[in-house]
Amino acid sequence: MRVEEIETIERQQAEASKRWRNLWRVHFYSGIIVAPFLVMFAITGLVILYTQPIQDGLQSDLRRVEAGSEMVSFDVQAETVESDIGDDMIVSLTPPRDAGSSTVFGLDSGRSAYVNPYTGEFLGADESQTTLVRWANTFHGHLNNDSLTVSLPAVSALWDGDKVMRDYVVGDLILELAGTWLVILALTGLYLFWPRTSREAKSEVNGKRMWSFRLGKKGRARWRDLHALPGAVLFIMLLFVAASGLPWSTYWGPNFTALANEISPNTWTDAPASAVGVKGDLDRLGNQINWNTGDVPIPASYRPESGAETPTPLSLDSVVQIASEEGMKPNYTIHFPSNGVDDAGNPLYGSFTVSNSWPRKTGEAKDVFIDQFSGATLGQQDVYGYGSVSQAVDTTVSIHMGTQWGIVSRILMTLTCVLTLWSVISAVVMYSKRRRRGTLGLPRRPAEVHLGRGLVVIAVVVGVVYPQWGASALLILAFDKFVIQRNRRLKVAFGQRS
Amino acid sequence: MVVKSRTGTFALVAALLVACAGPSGVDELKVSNVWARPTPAQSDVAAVYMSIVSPVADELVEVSTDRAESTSLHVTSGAKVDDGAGHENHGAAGTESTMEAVDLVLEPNSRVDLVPGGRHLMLEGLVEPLVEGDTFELILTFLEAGEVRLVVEVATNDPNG
Repeated sequence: MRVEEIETIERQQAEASKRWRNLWRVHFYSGIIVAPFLVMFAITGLVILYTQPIQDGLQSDLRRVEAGSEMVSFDVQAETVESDIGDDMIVSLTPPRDAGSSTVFGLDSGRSAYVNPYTGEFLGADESQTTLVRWANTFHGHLNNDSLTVSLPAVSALWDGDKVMRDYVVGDLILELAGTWLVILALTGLYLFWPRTSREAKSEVNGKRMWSFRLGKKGRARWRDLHALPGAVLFIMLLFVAASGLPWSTYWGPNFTALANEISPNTWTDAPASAVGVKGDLDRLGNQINWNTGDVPIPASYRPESGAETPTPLSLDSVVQIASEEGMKPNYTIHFPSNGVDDAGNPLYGSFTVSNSWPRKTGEAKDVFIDQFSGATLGQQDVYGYGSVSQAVDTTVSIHMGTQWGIVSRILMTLTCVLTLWSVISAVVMYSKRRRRGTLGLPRRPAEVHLGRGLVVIAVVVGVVYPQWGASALLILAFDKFVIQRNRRLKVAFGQRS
Repeated sequence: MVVKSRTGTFALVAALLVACAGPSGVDELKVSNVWARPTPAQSDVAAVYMSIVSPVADELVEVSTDRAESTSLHVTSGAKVDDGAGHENHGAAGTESTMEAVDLVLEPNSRVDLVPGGRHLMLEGLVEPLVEGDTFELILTFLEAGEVRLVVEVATNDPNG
């Protein structure tokens, strides 16, 4: 080989080593950042996946009934509820989703009332979600404190013409940050796991090596495989779970929604000129309505022709009848109309909104707006009206929530949660095996830390698209440069040799 | 050391400068004297020997080569039969030898020698037998040091004595 060839190879080799060292350190530290969130997401995710069985179990006296032969009229059931809830008001009705379910009436206070649909007996009223499920949802989606907000400039101000400074919930910002670090953790992990190949690589040999589970090994080699192989298999699911959560997220979510609407707008239904409220008003528990339909206006009902003083709305039984004629899948909810007054002081009548919200497949998403007096269908919004970006996002969310492919989805997502927990556990085991007594066991920091140009470009792009991540990365770099590098003991603790 | 000529001085200084250039030799992991014995035609396993010097704590994460399907680090304990041709009999009648796979862990400022009779890297599922005079590429990946690409010399005895 010529001298130049040797030098090129040596330089490439040095680059490869440098890349490995940098990515190993990024993987280690992003793992530390992300681990508490992964544990929290995985456990709360499991609770949410099994919400229905859990709630049916914990609240069986409210939610489960013995199947009967005939159902009592929904209007009679509603009256039963009204006599038991005092000042509260019914705002929605969810007819029983199967033969053993009770009827659920949503109340204005946010609670729910339950009626036996066969006997008409009032079963009780309680919080709409059991405490366990509510906490799980709160942590999984909101990190608890909705009221703690901060004002930040929005990237989407660049194209949606809205004001620049907007309020964001701090907990949601933190969750979004964890999501981006998770993606980096997974990608660096994949790099570390990928087998090194010779220059004259024989792919069959490499392929076999990658997937063989080296159970014969003891010690750290086995733990590395136990950590890496489930992670690699779930790599797609993990990236996917993070990606499907991010369009819902607080900071990037609205920016993304605005962008989606710019690129592929939804086709709204034709509504009468006056509309009372928008679909987002129905979203009492937060994020329960279909993605990107919060702004869909609820069409107003036409004033009845009879001229009567107090027009009577449709009976609930009729609405249920219409809903099944429209092909709504069981477990849909009928939201009662809210009436208002227009600028001229004339009464404005809202409409029944019947919607299939979570959990459901993308294809089953449907909203039907029913005139509260005539029963006419004022409008309809189903998945085929979504812009293509929204439809794609909706599908990813259904997969994330374990509903898209029925039981297969649920098993897949359960596996994702369990193996995520396992990744954290196996990582901790590896760390404790490797750590030598008296040291922190942190990866060695080379004297010179320079990412390759490709990695820097990627980092800058990610930092712009996800500004919280960008800010956190800059913070870490600053901490390294101005704190760690200036303190000898810290330098040694972080693995740098003097 | 007394250098007798200007050229000699220049050469010495140049050599020292070259030695100091690039990644500092003192600070980096170094692998040297990488060799393996030829294998008989019916065997598809081989042992690779080398010397490793590391300034910091480290461990071997991966061994890969396109000459074999799988690799591991083995330790032989118990009696071993050397049939004089440099081949260790594993499991032949009358021998007690157990092989145990262990991690190659390096302490700071340590040196590890893989030599016949002791620890060695095992290559299993050789694509083709190793022949005297052959060379092939071996990639070692260490957790802290990263990738190290080596050329393995195939020889009956340690090429460096």
